[in-house]
Amino acid sequence: METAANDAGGGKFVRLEAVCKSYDEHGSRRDVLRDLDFSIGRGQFVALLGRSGAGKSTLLNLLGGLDVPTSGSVSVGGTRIDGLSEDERTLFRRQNLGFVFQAYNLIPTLNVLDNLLLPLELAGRSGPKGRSAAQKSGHGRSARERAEWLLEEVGLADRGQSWPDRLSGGEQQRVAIARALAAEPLLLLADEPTGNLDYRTGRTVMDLLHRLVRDTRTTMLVVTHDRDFLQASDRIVRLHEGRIEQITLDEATAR
Amino acid sequence: MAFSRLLVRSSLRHLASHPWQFALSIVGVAVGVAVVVAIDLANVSAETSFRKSSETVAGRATHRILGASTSGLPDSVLAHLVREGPYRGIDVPMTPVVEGWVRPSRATERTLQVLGVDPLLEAAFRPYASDIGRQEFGLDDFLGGRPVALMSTGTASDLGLAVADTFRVEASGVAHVLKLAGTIEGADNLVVLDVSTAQRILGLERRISRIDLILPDADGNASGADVAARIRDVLPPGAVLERSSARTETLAQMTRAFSLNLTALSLLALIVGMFLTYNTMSFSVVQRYGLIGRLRAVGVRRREVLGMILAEALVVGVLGTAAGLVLGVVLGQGLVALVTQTINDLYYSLSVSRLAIGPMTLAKGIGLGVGATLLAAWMPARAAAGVTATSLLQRSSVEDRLRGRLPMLTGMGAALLVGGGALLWASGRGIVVAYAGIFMLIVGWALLAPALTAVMVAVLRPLASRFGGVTGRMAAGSVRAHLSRTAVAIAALSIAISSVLGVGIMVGSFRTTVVTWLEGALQADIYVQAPGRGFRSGGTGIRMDALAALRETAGRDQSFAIRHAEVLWRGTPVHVAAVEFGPHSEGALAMKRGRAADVLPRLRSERAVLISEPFAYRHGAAPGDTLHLLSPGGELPLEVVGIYHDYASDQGTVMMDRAQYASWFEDDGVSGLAVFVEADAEGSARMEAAIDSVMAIMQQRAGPLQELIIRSNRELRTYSLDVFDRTFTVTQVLQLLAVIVAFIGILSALMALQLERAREYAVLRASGMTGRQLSRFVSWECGLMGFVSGILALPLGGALAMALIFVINKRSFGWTLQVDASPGLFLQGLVVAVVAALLAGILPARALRRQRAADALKGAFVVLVAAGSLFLAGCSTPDRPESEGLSLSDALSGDIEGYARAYDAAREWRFPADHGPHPDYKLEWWYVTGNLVDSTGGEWGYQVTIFRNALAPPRDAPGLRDTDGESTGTASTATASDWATRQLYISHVGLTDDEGQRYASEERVYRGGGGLAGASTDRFHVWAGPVEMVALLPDGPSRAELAQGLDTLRIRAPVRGRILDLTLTAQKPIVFQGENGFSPKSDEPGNASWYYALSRFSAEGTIGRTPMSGQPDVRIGGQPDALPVLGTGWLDREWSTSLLGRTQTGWDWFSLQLDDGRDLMYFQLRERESEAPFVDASLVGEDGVRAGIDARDITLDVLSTWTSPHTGADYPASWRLRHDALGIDLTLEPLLADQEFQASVRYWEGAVRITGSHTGRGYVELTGYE
Repeated sequence: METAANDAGGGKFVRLEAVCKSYDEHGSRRDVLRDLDFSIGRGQFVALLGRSGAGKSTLLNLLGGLDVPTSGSVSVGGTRIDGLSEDERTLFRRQNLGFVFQAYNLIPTLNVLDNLLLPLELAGRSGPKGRSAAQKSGHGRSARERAEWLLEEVGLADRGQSWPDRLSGGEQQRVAIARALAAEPLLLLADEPTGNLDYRTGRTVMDLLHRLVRDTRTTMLVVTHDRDFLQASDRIVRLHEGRIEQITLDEATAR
Repeated sequence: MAFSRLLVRSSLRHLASHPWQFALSIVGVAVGVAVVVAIDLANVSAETSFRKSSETVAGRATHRILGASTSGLPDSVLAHLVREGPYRGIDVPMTPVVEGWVRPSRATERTLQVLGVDPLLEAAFRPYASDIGRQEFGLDDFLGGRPVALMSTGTASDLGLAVADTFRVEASGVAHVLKLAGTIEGADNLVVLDVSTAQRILGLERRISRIDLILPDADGNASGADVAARIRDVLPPGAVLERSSARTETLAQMTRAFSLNLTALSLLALIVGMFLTYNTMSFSVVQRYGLIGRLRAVGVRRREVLGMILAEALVVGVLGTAAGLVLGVVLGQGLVALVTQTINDLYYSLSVSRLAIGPMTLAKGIGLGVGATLLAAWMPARAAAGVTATSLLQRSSVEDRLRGRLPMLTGMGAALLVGGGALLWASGRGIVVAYAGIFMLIVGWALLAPALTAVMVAVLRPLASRFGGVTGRMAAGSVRAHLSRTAVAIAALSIAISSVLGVGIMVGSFRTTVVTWLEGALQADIYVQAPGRGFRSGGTGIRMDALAALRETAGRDQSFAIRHAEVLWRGTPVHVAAVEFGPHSEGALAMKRGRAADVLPRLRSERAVLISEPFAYRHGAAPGDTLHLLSPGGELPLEVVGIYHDYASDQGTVMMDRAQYASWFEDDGVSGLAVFVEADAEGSARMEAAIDSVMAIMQQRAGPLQELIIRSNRELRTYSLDVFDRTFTVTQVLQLLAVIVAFIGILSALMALQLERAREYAVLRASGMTGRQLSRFVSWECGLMGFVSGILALPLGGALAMALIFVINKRSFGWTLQVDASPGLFLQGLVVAVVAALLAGILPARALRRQRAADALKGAFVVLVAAGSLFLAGCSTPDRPESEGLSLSDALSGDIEGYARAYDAAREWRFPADHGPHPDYKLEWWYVTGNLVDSTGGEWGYQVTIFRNALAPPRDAPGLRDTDGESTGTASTATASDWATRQLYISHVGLTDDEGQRYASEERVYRGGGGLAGASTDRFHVWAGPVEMVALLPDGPSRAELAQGLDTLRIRAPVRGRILDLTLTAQKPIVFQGENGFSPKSDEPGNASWYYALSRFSAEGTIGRTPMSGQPDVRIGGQPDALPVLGTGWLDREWSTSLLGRTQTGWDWFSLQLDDGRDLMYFQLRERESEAPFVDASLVGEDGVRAGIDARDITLDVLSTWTSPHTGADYPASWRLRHDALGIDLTLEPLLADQEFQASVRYWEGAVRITGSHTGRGYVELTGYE
């Protein structure tokens, strides 16, 4: 199985080279990404800006292996994911990626704890002495212990048995973050994680995400317009007319 | 595939949170499966029951011999086979069977199968039937023609009968009273009678229905085929030998098309159910697009999603199937009655008392239920697997996708329609292919449904808008917007409605055709019929005396008889209607080929017949063909001169002139009578009055003789149509079930739609729409869907009707039907569709408010499943214990009360009468023993004995009167059967082969009736099956004064593959033993026999081998067929009622022929204690003069003993016999130690060599040794 663990080029953990993505719409071609080059170093926290329709979600989908580029290459942790089959991309996703969505997207038919356990189980870490759990978290926990630990980390230790629809938006997003980190991904992709939340809750969620990502040295790309996020990021990039450009915090906040 | 426990949990949670949807999909599958299972159960139960009763009745018979005509086979055929068979290589078990049907009472439609058997010959065939002697009533009651019966235990309890109860049965309108002698296990609705009683009740005089045989396997000495060929050689022209299974197969084949049609209809319900499952599953996928997208984003693979949806379908399928099985069993109970009724009306008599729930039916149900659900779920599951994580934010692409697929679906639909039509066109005779074509039409049409729905809704929208305002317009828009779900529900409903319509048109057309046909065919005013089974039955029909009374009433010119019969053609029975044609016949015959005016004269004068349309179709026969029907005189070539329409039987009928039939088939029976009332009265009212009065007089005159069914023209027409309607009840029930499934489909589709749009409704409510308006919206939507379904159903229904009428009906039954499709039927279909859809809309609206109600449904379902499994557990069949055969020793023992006894010597001997039987005495024998020398010098001993044993004294036994069986209410003049007897004849044949040191013995038991066994009073002639002794009439002047007609005696006896054929010539006159033949056996009065003997014959003949034994005989091997022998014979004739005294244990009997020409008879009856035995002796001189000698002067010493390896009995094995005064001192040595007779009674009977003072040969009989 392809994993990102064999990556040696720490500076270019995520790399997109000459990526184009276009869609057919009623017979006409719409280019969303054009000849895009972009990379993220290992453990970096990158904030991504862009107008609505600029192609931010498309970029996340490509990085997440949910979609493939029309041309160009996408590699994560040294793995060319554009060359993988649908099935291989799914497996790659399981092992290496975490998602946090604006709409939380918890599984409504599973309770909070099970939502956290699902990625662990899918990644084959359901055993009490799972490989990753023992080695990487350093706590030697079972999947369940890890899930509970994460819930505690996001401040929801007592809501493990609750159904997602019983949680507030902020709580749901905290669960989503915990779920995204459950399988210890190498890359975390977040799409407006605080977009649906009020300022205070958003702040809490951001802090949490930031702390956890730093603690675990997880590489993260966040689509956000949240100033706090922008401030906390190592780098800010903007997607404009299908291309990436690096900008400063001031440039970002000036808009 | 192993997938995540959490995925399973997620699935279960989804199902649990949509209980209505879940429950409805289960119910949909359940009803579909239930219908299929119920029909299968009904079909299988009917067939199982039929086969079981056939097997029960056939027993272990491998073959049967049938007669050419309805009235069976002359019973002399059996007697001939039994008596001659062994000499022609046909020494196989065979037994007579008289079969028929009776009704236990007039009130019930139930029929009981009558099986008339000969208990003595039964053991090898039907153990239960040979068990008769062990029942409450003895063998004598059965064989004696007493009206005693055995009945299946279940049937007896159904009828509330206990052993010794009497019960009435009615056969062809004549009532009989039977007494229940015992019950038997294993077969339902079976009444076992003695062959004599069955003959009497069923009116078969000197005839039997068939002979059952067991032919050897091919690996035996002689192959079954060889024996069969030999049997065919000796059968009279009007009899055929066939495999037992052949008839069962023929009958089973009759209902094949009927069963197939039912199965096809039941599959329709399953197909509708599949649409429903598809609908539900695809909806549940659509519902979860978002969820599935999230799962995919998290890393759940496509195949895991596919697996998850299929697993859900599996749960639905398994639960639905389980419920369907239970429901199917319940439904099957009802359907089996309908199916059985139809089979009884149309095909053959059948009673199904229990549902045969076989593993095959259940497996089929499970396979179809689970399989159909998975198949239906496959597309939705594929769709689910196709959901990409990116579609998370693009929620509603399903409808777009369906629209995108519309052209493809429509194309496929059109292709299927064309393919289906082509299949129907080209299906030839294959009903299955034709049905495949029909199913293609249905599925093709269903695929067109989305496109057609879209078009129709577009057309209807302005109308809906006009009449329903904004709600109407919205509803039309909604149906169109949610096409992916509405179209499936519409397709399901339209399939169900179209099948109702199609079958409705077919049945209606059929009915119109039959009505028209009946109007033409039924021209007479009154129809008289003997009650029987089914619509047309052969049987004995109207009794001659009743017929005479009827004809007298009607006036001879005004009544026309018909005979329904079965005759064999190409080895299978075909129905023959032998009709007395009259002036009306030309109008009554609806000819398809040929003109009535042309063919009628030919039928009367030539060897010509008409065939019915189904017959022509079924057998591919046409005018000009010749049918070779089997008649008593052999195969009879009959030319087909025309084809006529006949809707009474799908099996086909051969019509001929009755007078011709009577002469060809030697059967002048009458099954029915058509009577024309003199049309002297003007006006229909007066005509009807005249008819009524004639009917009343007929009833009055014939009624006391026989219960007859007398119907007016109108009544018969009504009855015929009743039968017709009854036939299609099951079809209509199936239609209804398909509509129910479709209804559930619509309901579930609507439920799903409404549930999905709960938020939309909330918005509508919020925008100011009232609850009422909302429900109007739902109703409009449902009504539109129903209307579209109804409209779509019309062309499909019409097409199905045409396919059923012109393809299926034709292929299945061969009938031409006139199409009668009234617009009312179409309108009705449309209305049913709209109403069903509207009804389906009521629940969803309510369910929106009360969702939790589904939980209750779930609970009820669990109870249903539990009850079902209990029910299934209770349906096991108990094993039937094996019964043993008849024991002769049981039969031989018994009460001696009521028999004559020999008390003194006063007797006037009369010959030849005294050579014959003396039934006043219990026991009698014709006993010949002797010694032979063959042409190679080898010595042989032989014993040929025929015993007569009375089962009861000639007069009545107390407690049961002969008149018990006579009819009550209706007079019966049935003659006693020739088979009724109280005499058993038992042959014992033994053959001792000195050189081969082998001994063979064989016993055969027959009743003294039916020609199987008996003894003559005209001359010395006695036979028990093939064993026969007959005095040959002298060529020259009689020497009657010498031997009383016994000058020459021919003896023929088969024994274990060998045949003894001897001609004995008397060397001495007969002598009377004891005093004037009075031979006391103890000091007790009455313990004596009448005893005469002829102590010396010369014997000449052969010992042959029967053609049965394929191997060359070691002893006879050098000879072509038979070994010539010469020797002697000794005849003992004796009869008595009581031989042994109470303290006597057995006897030693010696018949010794000394070389000096003297013959010594000596016997001693041994006493239990060491008292002196009772002895007697006589010596017949060379001149034939008997000298009584004092037996006490004879000393008998046993020199050695022999222990039988067979029975363990110790017998004396050599003797010294002395009579000092006569100078006789003999040593007697057996030719062979082992001459123990192996039979139901054990004794030693062997040839001995005499040495000592005299030489000679003799025979010794030893009984009572243990």
